[in-house]
Amino acid sequence: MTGQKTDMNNGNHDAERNEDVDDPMQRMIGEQLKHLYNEVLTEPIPPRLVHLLEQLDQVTADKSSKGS
Amino acid sequence: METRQQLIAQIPNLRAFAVSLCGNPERADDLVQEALMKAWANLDSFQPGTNMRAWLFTILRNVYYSEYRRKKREVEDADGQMAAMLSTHPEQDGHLDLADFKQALAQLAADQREALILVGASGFSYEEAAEICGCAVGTVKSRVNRARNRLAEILSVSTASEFGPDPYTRSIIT
Repeated sequence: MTGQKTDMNNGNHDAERNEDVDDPMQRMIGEQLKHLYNEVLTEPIPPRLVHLLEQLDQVTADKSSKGS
Repeated sequence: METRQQLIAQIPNLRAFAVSLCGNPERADDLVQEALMKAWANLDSFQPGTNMRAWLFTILRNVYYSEYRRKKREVEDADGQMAAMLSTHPEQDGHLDLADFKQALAQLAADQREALILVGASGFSYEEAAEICGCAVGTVKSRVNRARNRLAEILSVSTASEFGPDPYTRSIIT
């Protein structure tokens, strides 16, 4: 583990993170960032957004059945 | 999986990104709602097999910034509210550092914060983030670097001030 980064590992998303994991501050920043993001990520999906998609689905289905 | 289910599966990520853009959970849900409606109306433009999450993030971002241009003043107020909200709601779960971190994040320039979130939290590659932001890959890289450096700078200072007279901090370290 040299800590050297090359730009040759395209295609592997994790390999090209520009995170210097050897630097404790940058490691902490990375962890906090994910923690903060995951707080929202793990919240239940608001029912109104699911309901919206159900309505859109319904409208589209109605349209296509009338259109044919 | 049908389209509706695919879109529902992306809602948690869209919300997390929206909160990071506007800093306000309720407004974030409005943004997600508008983005979902736009996405539904433009499903034809989605190329199957490509990254649906990236496609949706692009739409959400466009919704946010077109609103931003329309009501710039109002958004600036919201940004002020965001800073206030972030600074007055320390986490209750013992993550003192997380409250500091939120404040530091709120101090970043919007384009740097966005790039850092996309790459460091949403899990996009630099290439995908560049596509979402409509800029060059090199630009995303430099924004992420500047964001990381700036955060490190802010957090180093606030870590040092932990030993100051702040009563909340004191109650934890004593």
